[in-house]
Amino acid sequence: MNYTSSQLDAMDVSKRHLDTCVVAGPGSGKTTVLVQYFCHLVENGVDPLRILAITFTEKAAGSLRKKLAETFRADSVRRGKLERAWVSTVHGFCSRLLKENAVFAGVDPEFSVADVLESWRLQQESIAAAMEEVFQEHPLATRKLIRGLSSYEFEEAVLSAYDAMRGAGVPVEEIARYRVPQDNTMDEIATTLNALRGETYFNWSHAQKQHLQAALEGAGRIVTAADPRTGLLAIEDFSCNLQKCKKGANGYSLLKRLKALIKDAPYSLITQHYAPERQLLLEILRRFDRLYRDRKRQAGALDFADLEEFAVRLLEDHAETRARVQAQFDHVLMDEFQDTNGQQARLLQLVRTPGRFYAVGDINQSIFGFRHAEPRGFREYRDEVAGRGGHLVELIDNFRSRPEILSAVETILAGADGIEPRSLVAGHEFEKPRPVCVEVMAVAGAESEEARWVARRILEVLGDRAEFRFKDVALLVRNTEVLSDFSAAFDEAGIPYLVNHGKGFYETREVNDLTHLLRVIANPRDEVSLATVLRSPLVEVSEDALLRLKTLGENIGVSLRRLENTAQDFDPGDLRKLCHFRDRLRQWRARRESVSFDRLLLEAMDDCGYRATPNIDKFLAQSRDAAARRSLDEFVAGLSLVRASNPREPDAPPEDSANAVKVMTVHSAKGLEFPIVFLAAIHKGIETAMPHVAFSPRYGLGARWRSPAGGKEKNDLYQHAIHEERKLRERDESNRLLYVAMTRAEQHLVLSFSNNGRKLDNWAAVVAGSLQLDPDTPCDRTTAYTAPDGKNWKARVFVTDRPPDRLAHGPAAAVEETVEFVPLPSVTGQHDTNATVTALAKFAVCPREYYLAHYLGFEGRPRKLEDSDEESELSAAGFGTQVHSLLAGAGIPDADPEAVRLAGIFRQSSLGRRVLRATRVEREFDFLMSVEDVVVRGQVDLWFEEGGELVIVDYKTDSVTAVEAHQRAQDYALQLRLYALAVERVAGRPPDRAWLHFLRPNTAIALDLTPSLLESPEQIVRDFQEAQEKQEFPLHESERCRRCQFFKDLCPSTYQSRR
Amino acid sequence: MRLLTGPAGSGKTTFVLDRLRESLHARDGRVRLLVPTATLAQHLQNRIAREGFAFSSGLIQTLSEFVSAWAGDVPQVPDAVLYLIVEESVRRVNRSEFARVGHLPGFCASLARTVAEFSSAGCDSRRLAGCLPDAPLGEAFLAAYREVDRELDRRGFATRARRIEWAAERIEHDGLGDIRTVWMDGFHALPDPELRVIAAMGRHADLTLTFDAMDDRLAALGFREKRLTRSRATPVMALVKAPGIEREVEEIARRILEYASSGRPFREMGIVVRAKETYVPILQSTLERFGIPARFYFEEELQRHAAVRFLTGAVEAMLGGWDHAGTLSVLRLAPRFADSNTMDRFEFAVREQIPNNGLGALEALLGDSDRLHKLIDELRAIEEWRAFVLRPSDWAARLRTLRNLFRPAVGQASRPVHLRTQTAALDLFDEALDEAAAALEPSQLIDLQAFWRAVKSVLRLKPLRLRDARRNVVHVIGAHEARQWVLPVVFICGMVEKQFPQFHRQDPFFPDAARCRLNAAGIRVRTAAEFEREERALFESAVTRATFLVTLSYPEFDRRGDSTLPSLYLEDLALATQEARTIRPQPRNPSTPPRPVEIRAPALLDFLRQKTTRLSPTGLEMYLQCPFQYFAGRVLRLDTAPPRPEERLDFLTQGNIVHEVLATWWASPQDLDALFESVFARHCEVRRIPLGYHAERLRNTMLDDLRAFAADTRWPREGFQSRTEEKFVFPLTEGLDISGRIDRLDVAPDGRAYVIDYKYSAAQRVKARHTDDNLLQAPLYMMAAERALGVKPVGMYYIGLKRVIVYAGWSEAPVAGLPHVELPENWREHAEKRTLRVVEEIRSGRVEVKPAAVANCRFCDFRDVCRVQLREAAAQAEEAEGAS
Ligand code: SF4
Repeated sequence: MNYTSSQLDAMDVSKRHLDTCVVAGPGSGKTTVLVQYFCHLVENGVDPLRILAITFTEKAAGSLRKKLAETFRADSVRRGKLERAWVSTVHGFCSRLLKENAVFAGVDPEFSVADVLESWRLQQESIAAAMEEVFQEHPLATRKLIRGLSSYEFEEAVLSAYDAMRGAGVPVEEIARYRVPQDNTMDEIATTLNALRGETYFNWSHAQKQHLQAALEGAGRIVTAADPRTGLLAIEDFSCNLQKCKKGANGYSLLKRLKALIKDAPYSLITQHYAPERQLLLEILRRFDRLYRDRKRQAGALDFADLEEFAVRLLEDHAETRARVQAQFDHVLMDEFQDTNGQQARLLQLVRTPGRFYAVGDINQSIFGFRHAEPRGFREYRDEVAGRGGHLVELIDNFRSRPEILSAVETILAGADGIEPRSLVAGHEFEKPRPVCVEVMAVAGAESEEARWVARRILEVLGDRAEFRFKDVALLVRNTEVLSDFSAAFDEAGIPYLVNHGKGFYETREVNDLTHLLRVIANPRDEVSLATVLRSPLVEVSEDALLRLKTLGENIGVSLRRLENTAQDFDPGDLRKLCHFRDRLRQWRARRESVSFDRLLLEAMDDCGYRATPNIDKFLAQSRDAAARRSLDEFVAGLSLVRASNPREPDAPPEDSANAVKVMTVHSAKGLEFPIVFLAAIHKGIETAMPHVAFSPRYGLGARWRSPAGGKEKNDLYQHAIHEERKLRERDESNRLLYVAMTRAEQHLVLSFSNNGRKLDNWAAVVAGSLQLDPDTPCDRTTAYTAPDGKNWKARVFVTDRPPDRLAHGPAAAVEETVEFVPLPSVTGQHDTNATVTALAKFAVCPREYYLAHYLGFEGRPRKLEDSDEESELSAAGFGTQVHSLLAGAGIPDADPEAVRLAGIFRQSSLGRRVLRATRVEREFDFLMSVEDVVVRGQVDLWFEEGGELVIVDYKTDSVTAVEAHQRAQDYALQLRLYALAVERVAGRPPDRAWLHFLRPNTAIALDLTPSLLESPEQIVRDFQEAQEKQEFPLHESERCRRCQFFKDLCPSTYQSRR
Repeated sequence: MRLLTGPAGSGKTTFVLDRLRESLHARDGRVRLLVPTATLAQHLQNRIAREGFAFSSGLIQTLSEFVSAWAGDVPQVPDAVLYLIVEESVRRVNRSEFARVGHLPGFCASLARTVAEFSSAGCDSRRLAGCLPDAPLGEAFLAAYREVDRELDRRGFATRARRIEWAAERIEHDGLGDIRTVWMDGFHALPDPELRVIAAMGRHADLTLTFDAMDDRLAALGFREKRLTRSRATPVMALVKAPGIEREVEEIARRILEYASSGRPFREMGIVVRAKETYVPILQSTLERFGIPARFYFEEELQRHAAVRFLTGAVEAMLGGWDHAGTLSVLRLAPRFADSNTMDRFEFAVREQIPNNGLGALEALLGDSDRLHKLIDELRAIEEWRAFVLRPSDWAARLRTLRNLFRPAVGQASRPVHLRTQTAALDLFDEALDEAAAALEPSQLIDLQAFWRAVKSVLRLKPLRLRDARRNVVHVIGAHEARQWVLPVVFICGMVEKQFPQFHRQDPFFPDAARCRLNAAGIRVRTAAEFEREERALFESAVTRATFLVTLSYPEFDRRGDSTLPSLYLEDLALATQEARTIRPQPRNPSTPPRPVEIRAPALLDFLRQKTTRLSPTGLEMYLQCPFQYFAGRVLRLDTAPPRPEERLDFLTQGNIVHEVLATWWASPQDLDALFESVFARHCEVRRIPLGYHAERLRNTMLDDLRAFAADTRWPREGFQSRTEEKFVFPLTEGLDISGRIDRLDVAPDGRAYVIDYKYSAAQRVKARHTDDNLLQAPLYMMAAERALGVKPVGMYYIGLKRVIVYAGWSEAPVAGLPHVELPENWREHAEKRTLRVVEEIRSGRVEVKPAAVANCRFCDFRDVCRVQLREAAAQAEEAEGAS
């Protein structure tokens, strides 16, 4: 790679002990320079972990990490370290810093970062709560505030002011400390008035003098007003028509001045008049701040501004941590420095120490003022570096665009406000020349006409040659309002396109369909949602079907639920769809809280083959995440709130690979480049009306109030000052935005606008002015221009007042993906691999009881509150355990006397005496074995070998009658057979006998161990597997049912009633 | 003592199992195979059992289980109890360093984690005190740790490590009973306590340990090393890249289906997941979607389980005085009401009344559903608890009966695994109650609030495992767990930076440097380097799990659409990348071609005819704006969910209030403010509009507007007699009546009359009526005035009332100084014709989506039903990017 000398200078690590500022013009290869500088540092022995590199976007950080990874691929140690390297956005850096220093920072070490939507939600809740609190506490004052500052966007305005405060790093408490901006208007009015009064009016006619007199009196009333309100009324009453005065005289110009002054007079009066309401406004902000912080704390979340604020506070308040963090980094690299806000700049100040900072930026590309970026910081740093002998490099070579495009930029923006004059030097050699690479198109007519011309021009530029494809073209706009015109025109012309960073996510059809489906699952009585779903491709029934449902009852949800599979009058197709949906809905509703919501949606989508789009993926991901935190109802409620208040949620990014024209705003094109750029609708500006409440770090908080005189809205002094400040900023930034937009183009740039005979506005005015275009006279010619640096370039100028001819072109080439449809597999073997002997025995007796108690694990009877004061009373189960333990030989300190007695009974029984003589005894023998692929676990109470006989014993401690004992013994047959199987495998021969020993009363029953084929353990296990496989667990109703815990509850058996 | 070492796949486990089999054949029960985790123990037990052996389960068990026989009676402290003790200790030591964070759950959780880490490394607070490294929070941590240790002693709990150490002492001294041989397999880390117990066992039995490599500590214990080399065949490797994680996971599903269809059982395939938060949910969704049976070896959050939410919700609703919103969300979780129309109706009824509280008020809305009454009665029964003070164990006993509230819905559409997990969750809830009781001072009498706080903390920490014991499933396992598995086909997903290898942040108490110093002092806590080594080992182990094929995959772009950085582990493998294909399950109900939007069935057309014998001018205008809007609003009369409280004072209600005030005030002039207040208050009460800031702002605006109207004297009212709120019906033609209500009719003595209609909407919209093509109301009102109300109408005015008072209308002659527009020619005739045409269209079944003005769609209630694309409208409403 050949680097220019200034690039080499910028990468020169020998100057690494100097603060460095790299001013990098568009296309100057700044990313390469940054990567190379990082690499050179590492190659010169700097530990990658000791470099902090901060980028503006995640994308940039990602690409930086990627490039570094590629560079050090072969060096495993360094490559390994890159995994932990500090290469991220400011937020990424803050987040890591805070997690590692959470205790000193005073944040929850497990905090999560609230995304835009989440913080939006918390903010909405908090502002509503704050307003409510303030209103309840100060109803009268709030009423006054409402009267003075009534706007439906009031909350939004407060929130945006709050956002600005946080971006600037100004805490809420400090707002009250801002002084009222200096204003001498009243004094000047008085002075001017005096001067006017001292003036002589020789040549004035009587009428003129009378008019003058009235004006002076009016002004006098303003000056002497007793209170602001009177003053404002007086201003309202003041009238002075200069036409009716004598021109040319001194008095005339004084009067003119007086008039101008009076126009500015309300600001200070409004400020005075609304001083108490302003206090309340500040109180609202304070409350909001507190509530919002509380809510975030409860959620364990920090928003983006918190990340910055807490990081700054950590480093400011904690000298030791600051020193540690500063010592941690030998080099701090910062990209796009001009885009940092006040708070971020402060953070950098705290992290870096002299001689270690390396900043890259370009004032001319500073376009994020509306996000509170303060390019001033970069300018100051640059001056500081220049002034203090630091390392200042300017990268002016542009490796992106053709020279003509660069000349066009220079010509059009020569001398423009906000643009620092710096030449753009073409550094890239293009293989083929292009006769004309810059075009200006002016269309007399509506934007839709312009869009058609643009569409046509795209097709012409791409032509038949394979040089460029649709994906090489970008359509950039400043104002998204016009996007619909362009998409319509592209559709018409068959141009595939992808809209990137549209902000109508929640209004897209697919998101809409799925949202309503969730609402229907939540509550199908919501007919609007149900009808939406039924009409959507998810179900797709006819209007006839909807109306039929309505005629069946008062609510279509209820009608759907009650719909019979054989309902008359429905179209068969409709009926099939409705019944299918009804059944599915039932399933989804039953499962809605046990699976993540996306699964329900996916089922619905897959049923009908609903087309997946990136927006759907995004919505599914949202639903998946939400399910981990919220109930369906909460999620649905949240969604409708979001939709109702319409926050601008970006669309999911389209999949990049498609051959399609990319449509996006200029802001989102920052940092990108395209072979061909259409910069369209450049006559459209953006809405810049200030909200009712605004903040600027310089002036504090301002507001626009309703004047008590006449009711018109007027700025207070703060707001006035902010307004002036913003006007300048926007003017500058608008020019820079145009600069950024034009410099995205590599080979071809088309600027287009439409006008309806009105005066040209916005960028169209800039372009037309600098290129001396006449947008009213149709033409199509190539014009030569000279750039400020003397270079000549040409542009095609095309002005038209007619619509383009229809292009014969194929239907819209939709951006389609290729999809394979796969059939679902047939699935078998879904039974459990493990079972206990008890469960199998239970299954053999009654599959349903097994299912409820063991397979699902339910309890049958309601629980009773056991009185734990009387611990002596043992539960039946506890008692049984004691007896078993005693018989196993365990010593139990405070054993129940009855348990001791029962153990004695066994010991003295004939079986018990045989045990004493046995050659091998195993007690409480727990075992594992496999039967038919199922691993069975169990515990044999006792087995022993005595007199050549292998014997198994199972004790039962529940008290039964002798008759019952014999009946029950049958239920235990399988259990003992399984024990026998286990003992056989362990002992190497089958047991000879199995005994069931009931201890209450003392009855031992021998069981037959030679089973019929039907009741063999293997067969039971096979049945067991099959029952699970089919999920069919029949009832075995018998007398036992009456003892069963599920009888008349979870079990549908009606056994008793039949008797 | 023998040490078997060797890389993954070198047959260490095979060696051990062979020895175990030999013992089983010889019926020798004096052997033990010890493993680190319960799942591994179970896994090996099953494997051996399937080979036809029957044996005692104690033969293969975890180390902790095994040594518990020697560890004494002091029970191991459950994690949740440890956490509560940490919380308490932090409060008690009251260190200034922790002042700002001590109350934060995440802080106590991290502290508890670090305490647990130290304790497992065999470093209790005493040992730490002896070698405390210089770390900014070292002292404070130590103080808290000391307090934790003290408290554990006092409560009679021990940490796991402690118990192992005790066991080591006992074994050392008493021996292992009749056990002759011990094998230990599957261990990847051996902290000091484990080593100690190994040493003790080694003294009394023949001990074989498998491990990755020999190290100093093992050598010092006297292990003899036997090295095995890799014996298992290296699997084939593939690398797949997909555009995003959705496609990545779908591609895995596709491949699984492909292998399954060529005969490979599901159970022979596994997916190894390192970044579980990212991948587990989407794998669950995707595998289910493609009908692939899968078992997930991951824990979920107990507190999020619906059954637990139901129980905790009930208690919290009770503690909160049965706030209706909260109580409703509990009731909605009752499984038997998941798909109940009664509950659905009840829900909407409750939502119409929110905010409200108390069970009585809820029951009033219930209607006659016995089942729901019963549920509410059951809830009521727990209310008395609020007044109790009990000992923690008594609280636990009492709260166990909560479970009775949860009536499962068996036989509904739930999948078995969900029902089974439900019961597991309920059991864990019981366990949580006991743990909370164990963590609290046993004899102290406390109220429910206090006990409940502890329960909540425990619930927050308790994991829940799905109850799933199927075998023929694809196994989805974490990278740690995967070390114990061998499967023919293995997928490893999420091979991107920060996910595999995972990024480990420094510990907030002991950063890396401090940990290195602790290591030097013999305390084996993990350092960053060790984490890195472990990640690498996890990866290497994961790729060696497969015997046949291992497929690595990664998404090329993240959710934001930014390109990702593939994992550095892929760099060494140099595999060719395959592209994922896009798949979807075969649709069951493929969509049908679009058909015209219309009503066709003759019976329905009849229905429409009946429904249109009487129409109102507003309805007709609605049709003209859009036939579909009319269909949805007037024919289907689609209703929607109740509005939120703050939405109840909507445009319609505001309009009604203003109309009502004006009608009364105009008919009998009186104090406008007072009249307004009473009307406003009544509407608020009826519609349950909360009188908060929001209502206040609208109230204020309405009052201002009304005052402005009252102050507007342009209308020469003296010259007229006024009739207000005049209802009318008149036949337009055979079988068609027009009905409506005229806001005001001003009649001059000579019979000339003006029709007045108030509009509570912005001036712009009112003025727009002059140019509105769909205007029907005005001429129809004029006709009504003449035909039904018997006056001679000479003009019609709309009065716009919002913000400014505007008059927009038509009249024969100018009225006072008001803007004058001539009555259009043949106005009524046109209107009549138009009306007839509209009615004919409605009756012919036309319900087309065809808005006359798309801009109005934004205000239409049915804009979602009709599927008109609203993005454009939304874009217009939205500020452009870059605006301040
Ligand atoms: S949104 Fe528009 S198109 Fe849809 S129903 Fe309403 S008026 Fe008709």
